[in-house]
Amino acid sequence: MTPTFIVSHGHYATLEEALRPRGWLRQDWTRQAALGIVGVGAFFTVWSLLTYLGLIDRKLLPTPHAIAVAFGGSIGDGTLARELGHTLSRVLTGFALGTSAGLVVGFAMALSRHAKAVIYPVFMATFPLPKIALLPLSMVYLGVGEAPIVAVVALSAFYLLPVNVMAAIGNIDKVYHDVAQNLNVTPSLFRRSVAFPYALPMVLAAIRSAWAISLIVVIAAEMLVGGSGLGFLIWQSVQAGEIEVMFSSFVTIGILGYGSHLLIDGLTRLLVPWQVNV
Amino acid sequence: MQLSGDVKISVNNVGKVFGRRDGPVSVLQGIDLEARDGEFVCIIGPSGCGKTTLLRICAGLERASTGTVSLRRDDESRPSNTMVFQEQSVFPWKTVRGNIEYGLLVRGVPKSERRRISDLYIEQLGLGGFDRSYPHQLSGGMKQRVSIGRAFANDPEILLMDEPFANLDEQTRMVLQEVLLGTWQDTGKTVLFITHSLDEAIALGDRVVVMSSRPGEIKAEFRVDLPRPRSILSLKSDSRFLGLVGQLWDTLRDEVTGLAEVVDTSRGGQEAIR
Amino acid sequence: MRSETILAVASPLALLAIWQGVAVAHLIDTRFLPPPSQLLGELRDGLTSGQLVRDAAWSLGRIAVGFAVGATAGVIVGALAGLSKTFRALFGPLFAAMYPIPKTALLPLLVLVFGYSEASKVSLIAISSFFLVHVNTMHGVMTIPQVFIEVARDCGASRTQFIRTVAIPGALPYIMAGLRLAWTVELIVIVFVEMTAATNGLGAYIMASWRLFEVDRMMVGLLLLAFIGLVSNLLFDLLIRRLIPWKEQCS
Repeated sequence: MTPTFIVSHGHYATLEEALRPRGWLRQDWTRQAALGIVGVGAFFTVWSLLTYLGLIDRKLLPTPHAIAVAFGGSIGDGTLARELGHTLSRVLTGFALGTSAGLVVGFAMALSRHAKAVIYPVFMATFPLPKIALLPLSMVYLGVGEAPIVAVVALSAFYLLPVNVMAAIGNIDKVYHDVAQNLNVTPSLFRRSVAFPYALPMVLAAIRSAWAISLIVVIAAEMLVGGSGLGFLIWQSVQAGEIEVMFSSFVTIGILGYGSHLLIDGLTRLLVPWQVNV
Repeated sequence: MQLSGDVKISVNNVGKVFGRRDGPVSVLQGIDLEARDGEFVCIIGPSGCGKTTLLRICAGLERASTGTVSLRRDDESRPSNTMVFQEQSVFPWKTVRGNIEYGLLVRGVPKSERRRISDLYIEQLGLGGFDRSYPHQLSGGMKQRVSIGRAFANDPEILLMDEPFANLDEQTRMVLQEVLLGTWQDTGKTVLFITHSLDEAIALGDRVVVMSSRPGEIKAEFRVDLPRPRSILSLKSDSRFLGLVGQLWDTLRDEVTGLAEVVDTSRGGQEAIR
Repeated sequence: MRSETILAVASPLALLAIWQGVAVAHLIDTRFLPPPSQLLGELRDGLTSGQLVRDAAWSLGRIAVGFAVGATAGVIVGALAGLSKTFRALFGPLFAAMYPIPKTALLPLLVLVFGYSEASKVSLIAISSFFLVHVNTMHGVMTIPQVFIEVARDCGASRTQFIRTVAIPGALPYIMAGLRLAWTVELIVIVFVEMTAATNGLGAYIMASWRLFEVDRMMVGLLLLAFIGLVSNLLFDLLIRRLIPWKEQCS
């Protein structure tokens, strides 16, 4: 048999490397940026074509221009700032109440077996209920106003924390307990120097989820209760046939969501500098 | 490219430069290396000397910056080369049998044949009774056996091994060295074996290639003329074996002493000192 | 028996007993807080009349259809995004801009497009679950350890073989976590949708009880919702154990 030869050049370590084109686009970041611009550009082009050529009803999808004008208008006359202010004050109050209560209850259950025994059964029985469903009941108890919205946001945020806090503390490697015992570390010092920092990354992840759910819930609650807030503004603008206002509210909510995610990212990096970035 | 005689692997003037943010780093330089058909070649060198990179270039997982690697292929029905990775390369979502059969599955070998071959290696590697276990149920040593089994079952002409026993305890390592030697003896594969343990290099290899610290170059070659078949356990007290370890250590010491951290991490070095 | 076990059994029982006691003793207005015994009676009536079962079936049906569509699309597009840098570069900015919008905000738009039909409700569920499943699938594929990719390349796996034997099983734990999360969020979304824009389903049931000021019916609706949430969580646990037998189960 005549032997054949393989001269090693052929393979690539990753699929992505195999897909990488040659030439000027080889620089990764140039390529990424170029493709990103192409994607966003294509989006706006298709949108513009559909609306300016009248291929789609402008009552359903306005032109980019009309939305920009409406956005500018609602900033100019203060509507957007006013409604955003309402939404923010509700979501921030509810979120702050819910997460701090969640942290207290979570650490109580994680660190004390008796607290866990008392709270856990009731907590787990009520955990699977979608908290937005409690809005009518909280209106019965708290009247129609700010309180039921804040309460539902707080409950939604609250329930995400204890589970994660307990999981984080439960995950602490036995070796840390051994080290602490060996060094005669007091329980309170153990909590401060091991348990809290150990739980921090997971707690921050839970806080991030709690914030995302809070936004979903506050918009939903504002639509249900009415009166004020971005959720209300969206409904009202649809009913008034001002769909551009609705889209400019989407832009506002999007910026709010994106901005707050960046903020939480920054906070995570600041508070957990020892964690490898994902 | 034509390889003369029974040369199976030919590495010619291979160099590798990595682009780093603070400028290019040369990790390999002017490597020339040959391995004969059926030869067991060990490559040893201080940490960071680029020996893993060299192996990865041979496996085609990385490209050389300069030079070429040629592998002779004698049998088109078998894969040319397969790499034995460290134990964390075992797929957690496949059972022991599924992992061992992976290469065969990818090549489209029919199920009954796959089963016959995996049975053979499950038996030979002492994994009997664990064929349906998932890796998380196994110890590190068992996982490493699976990783070896996966490469052996694939039946390549050339085996490329990257410190396969580095994370194992001493007893497990000796057992697996015996297993490896036995299987190699039966199949006559060509083996390139990376290690940082002097004992291991001499116990296993026909030839030991010593590399220098970065940029990695070939510093020396030793022929190991201990008779085969070898028994790992009786070698440990063999005077010729100990003599060779001493010689190898003398050669390597100059490379290692320049890098204090290397002495700490190189288990081979510490064993030789003792 | 250990003191924790006693506490764990006693605390919910005590809560129910106090609730029942203060209601029966008329220490509270039972129109606002009906006693557990009254809730049980209401639950029995609702189940025997078939009203509750019908409404629960409507809610579950809407979630199931929307979730099936949205999650399937999410897994496919998420896998594409995870496998291809080009795909990520092209569509990443658009997804990043749309992802943080709370999807409940889209309901008025969908009502405008589809009217108060089933399509508007189901499509909101689909859109909401799509984004959650998409992000988790993409993350799952992208975090597959490099060494598994190298093993597949070294064994000569083709692209399809790679996807089947490495990408999908490697990402499966994340995909399942994404599905589970999406299902939880969809329970919130469906209740909201039915409260706002439906005449049937559990959300509508709760809303109608509120308008009639029938707190006991409202609480029974909540009870059933919590039960559905609990059962679906258990089913997800079971499914995950079946599909991912290679993961150590941590309790």
